[in-house]
Amino acid sequence: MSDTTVIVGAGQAGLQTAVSLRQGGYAGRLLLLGSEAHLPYQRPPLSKQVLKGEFDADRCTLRGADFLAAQEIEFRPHSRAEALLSDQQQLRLADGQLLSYDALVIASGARLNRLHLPGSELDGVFYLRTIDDALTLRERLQAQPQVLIAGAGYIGLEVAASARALGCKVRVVEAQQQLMQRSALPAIADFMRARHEQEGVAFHFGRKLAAIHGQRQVQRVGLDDGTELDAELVVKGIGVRPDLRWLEGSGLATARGILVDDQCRTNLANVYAAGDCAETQHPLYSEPVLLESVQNAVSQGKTCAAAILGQDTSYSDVPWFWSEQFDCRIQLAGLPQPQDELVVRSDAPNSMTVLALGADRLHAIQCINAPRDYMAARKIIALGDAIDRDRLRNPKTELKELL
Amino acid sequence: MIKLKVTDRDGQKHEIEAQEGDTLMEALREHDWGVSAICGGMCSCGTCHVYLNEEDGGKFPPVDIDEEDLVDMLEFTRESSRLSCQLTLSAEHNGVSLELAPEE
Ligand SMILES: Cc1cc2nc3c(=O)[nH]c(=O)nc-3n(C[C@H](O)[C@H](O)[C@H](O)COP(=O)(O)OP(=O)(O)OC[C@H]3O[C@@H](n4cnc5c(N)ncnc54)[C@H](O)[C@@H]3O)c2cc1C
Ligand code: FES
Repeated sequence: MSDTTVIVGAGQAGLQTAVSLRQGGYAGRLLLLGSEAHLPYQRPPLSKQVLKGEFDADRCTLRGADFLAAQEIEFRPHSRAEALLSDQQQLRLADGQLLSYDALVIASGARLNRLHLPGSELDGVFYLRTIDDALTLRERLQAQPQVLIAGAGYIGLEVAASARALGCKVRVVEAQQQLMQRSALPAIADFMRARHEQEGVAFHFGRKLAAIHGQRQVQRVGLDDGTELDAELVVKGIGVRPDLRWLEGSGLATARGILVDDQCRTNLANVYAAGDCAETQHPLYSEPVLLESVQNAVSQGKTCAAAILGQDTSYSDVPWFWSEQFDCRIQLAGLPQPQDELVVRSDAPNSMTVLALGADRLHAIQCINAPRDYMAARKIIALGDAIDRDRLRNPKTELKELL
Repeated sequence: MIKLKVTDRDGQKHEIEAQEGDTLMEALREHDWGVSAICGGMCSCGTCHVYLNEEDGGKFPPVDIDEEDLVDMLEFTRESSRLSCQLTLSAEHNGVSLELAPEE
């Protein structure tokens, strides 16, 4: 067994790897490197409870210093890995320090896509990824500025809902014609569009930001069709991607993310990857998947630990994700495939369930305020058994009955 | 400080301390044998599932519809099932005893 395991990134995946290693009896040295100043924390509340002022920052901490000390997990904040020297099994940190590892886990998450526009440097232009981002944004939202959000993805829409809850005027500019284009099925997207509009959010579809105007502060935003909109605060929610720059020249195989197999192993000996930075050969799918979710980060963290401990393991969990916008809890499980038949069911007010049916199996569920359907479908997908399509199509059938 | 008696999944008994105002899940998560609470308390995952005896269960507000819907669908649900992320601790919970449900 290895003597020293170094984990790059003290987020959801990195922390889980460390915790699971100790739970599995790992007796070696465990170093958890975080580039931020904070103890490991969870991001989902940032765009929701934190912005609305319901959670303070501490509430997002995943494990306290006492826990880490008791588990002999050496947590080092402000420690950015800068280069991987795989030939000598070493890592170079930003301060020049060299760390030797017997096993290395890369759990460095994703970085924000930046939008380089005239005016991007003005005061009032924000991104949201870290707790520091969230706290500054929260403070600014208290003054109820006019908010313009670039991108109608999950985070953009959660920010929109939180900003509305705080009484801000909110506009969302989206390049595509649909909300949450990348992952939501059309019925879910349309449902949520209507909810946002009812709550007073204004959408500009098929448009991109062209420039941000103002003296020192943001005052107006110009769109690519020449429209000018007043705005005092701009939040860019245009997605993330794995940060692979520091790994260049290391010999690590990457595509969109770091390529890993179902045991989170990379092409390099003793190097593993987990979470938002990993692109995974998932047994359920023919193409590698790049998932950005807490579930994926936690499950892959557990898988890495098992693999390092030499246990028989395979990451084959059904992917799942949730989002909260106004009074809607959106829950997704599985991944819809292009040829799927979509069945829309809606039994209660303010709720909807969409099922993506493959030829003989349920591929995915996406639902709003329908936790029963969600939990049942997650199990049906995981079992992978043949399904009776007629019964699934019948809104009278409770999904639970199909288990 | 509130003291709680917890039986873990291996049947081991622990006495733990918790802060008033925290959720029961937050108190349990601080231990290596504790709950994984994947969704962080959003009533979305069911990985913070515990059993409370009837008397202690009565010291918390009743199950709301979100919690009920999720609990109903879990694998190891019993009459006494609760999601610990939905239970906020206060002084009256001192001495409460509970058991962790098996992992899903
Ligand atoms: C605002 C917001 C809301 C979200 N809401 C949801 C939700 O509702 N549901 C859901 O499932 N998911 C949600 N997500 C996504 C989820 O938080 C991520 O998928 C998850 O955090 C990924 O975990 P990770 O460990 O891979 O990365 P992260 O949690 O991002 O952790 C990676 C860490 O590595 C550090 N790091 C990066 N590079 C280096 C380096 N070179 N050296 C050292 N450290 C480094 C980073 O600073 C970071 O702290 C949300 C994300 C955001 C930003
Ligand atoms: S922590 Fe996920 S439901 Fe309680």
